[in-house]
Parts: sequence; structure tokens; C-alpha cells
Amino acid sequence: MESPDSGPASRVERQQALGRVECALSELSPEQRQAVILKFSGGLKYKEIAEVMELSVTNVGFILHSALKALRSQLSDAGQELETVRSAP
Amino acid sequence: MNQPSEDPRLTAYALGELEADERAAFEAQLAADAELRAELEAVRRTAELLENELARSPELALSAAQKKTIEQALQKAPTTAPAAKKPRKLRWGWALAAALPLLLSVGGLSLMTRGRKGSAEPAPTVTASARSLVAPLSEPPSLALAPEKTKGEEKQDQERFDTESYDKYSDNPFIRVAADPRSTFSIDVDTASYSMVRRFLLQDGALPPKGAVRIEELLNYFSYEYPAARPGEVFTYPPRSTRRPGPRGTGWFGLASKPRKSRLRTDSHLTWCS
Repeated sequence: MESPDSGPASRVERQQALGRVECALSELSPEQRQAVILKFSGGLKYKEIAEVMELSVTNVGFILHSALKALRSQLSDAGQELETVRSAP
Repeated sequence: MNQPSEDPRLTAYALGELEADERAAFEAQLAADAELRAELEAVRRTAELLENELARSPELALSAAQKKTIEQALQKAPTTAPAAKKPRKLRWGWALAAALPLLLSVGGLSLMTRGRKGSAEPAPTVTASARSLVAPLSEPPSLALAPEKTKGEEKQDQERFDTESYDKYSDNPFIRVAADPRSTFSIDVDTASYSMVRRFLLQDGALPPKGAVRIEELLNYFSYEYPAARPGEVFTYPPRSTRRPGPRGTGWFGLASKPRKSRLRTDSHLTWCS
């Protein structure tokens, strides 16, 4: 990824990337969002997430896997649309 | 679990969560299955993107205070008596609720409303921002349209991804008409705040953060029977918006903008999740 200080264009791209992630996250169920934030922002292990959310570790595994799958599909859709916009004359 | 992509071990493996024996078994499976390896690569990319974006965005990430709360609760966990479990859960609820506004932020994504056809112009007009129309009636000594935004606030908006948090959201100041008779409106079609607020209230069972409530977007969410603007005009004066003198001579004044045809709207590319 580009440096955040490398000019307006990269700033716009960064905001678009962030917007995509933010938008995709908001599409998840509250449970999925919590697990994703605890994992990827909090750096918690499955076991700790299970503790926090009062779920089984297996459950956490399923929730995170399904969340990542959903995010992946949304982010790739959004990415393609942005590419279309960018490459248009 | 017929499809490789449905195997939660993919994510667990990518995140280093498999025990040694499970890991060995899964690696053997990976070695024999190219499709599984491709899936693993995709999971890794998504995980990396998430980690990077969350790390670069204070709004999206847990705050230091929230992390500390989480750490403290986890440290206490082994010794916590069952009877004490409930309060801990409540604290978590608080910590997570505080972490989620970022997910529901409504201001910064207007970049996403650009034309699908590659236009560099912002999304076209549909409804005039009502931000100026709902200003409190008690403060100003004269009939005034609250100004749209100060330069400082615009800057804050631009920097929202870097520094702005919803807690700092504030009303626009009042400006005396005598001092500055002009006012500006932002004309946009954002309606996301309504969905976000609704999601907070109905799905998450929590009050939305103050900054996620954007009155003009709540108003814009609904259709109104306003007359369409005439050719060459942008605004109309809806029948209900009139001068209504309030306390100390303040008033309420409304403008609406409605496209004559939906052509304008079809040009916009709204990626709002609602």
C-alpha cells in the first residue's frame, strides 16, 4: 500500500479502500462484526474471543470463517466497481 | 462441507489457530489440493487487508482503552466466579458498542457516491441537505439560516478517516443574518444514517453514537410530495416550509430540491449498505 502522505490521489484511494472495508463490515451480522474486530483489531485468539463473546471456540471459528468469506466477496465486488470508475475516460 | 471454501479450518489455519496435530493433517490436505491452496491464499489476503485497514484507521479499530478493558476482563476470566459473569458480559457489551460506531459511520463515504460512468463530479442533486433547516430555535436573535459548514468543519470532515470521531460531532454555530446574509447547502443524496440508526436500535439493541445521527440523512431517507423543480431551477419551496417566528424572532425556513426526472439519480453510484 502507498504511503499515507504521498498526495491527494493516494489519499483518495486510501479513503476508498477504507470505505470499502467499512461498508463491507457494516453488512456483517453484529456477531460477525464483533468477532472480526476482536480478532483483527484486538488481536485476540479464538479462545479469547470465545471467552469474550461467551461462545465455543468452534463457534468462533465458524463465525470468523463465514465473516471473512462474506467480506472477501463484498470487497472484491467493490474493488471491481472502483476499478471501472477509475479506468473510465 | 462439500466446498473447500466452507471449511473453517482455512481461516483457522491462516490465522495460526490450528493445534499441531490438526495443522499437520490440514497441511497434508493442502499439499494434495490446489483448490484448497487457492482458497487459503484468498483467506490470507482478506485477513491481511482487514488487519491493515483496521490498524490504519483509529475509527475502525478498538481504542487503547477498549483493548485495556478487554485485556483486564480476560485476565480476570479464570478466577471469575460464575455469579460474577453477568456484569463482565455487560462491560463487554459496553466496550463493543463503543467500538462499533466506526462501522456505521456515515459521513466519510461520500466518495463512494460518484458516478458509475466515471464522472469525477460528486453525486447529483436529489434533496437539499436539511441540516440548516432543523437548527434549534432558541439561540439566535434573528431569523437566520444556520450556515452549512465552517471551513474548520469541512476540514474535519476531510480528515474524518484520520482523526475525527463521532464524539466530537457538534452543531454548526449560528450566524447573524446582518453579519452574513448568505448561506450554503450541501446538496447530496446520502440517506445512510437512517439505516445505520435503525440498525443500531433494532438489530444491535443499542443507542446509536451521537455522531452517527445525521438529521438531514434521516429526512432524506423518505420520499416527500414536494413539487418538482421547474426547468432551470434547482430548488422549490415546499408548501409547509414558511416563516414561523419562534422565540426571540427566530424562524424556520425550508427549501427542497427534487429532480424533475430520476435521470440524475440513475447516474449516481451509491454503495451504501442499507
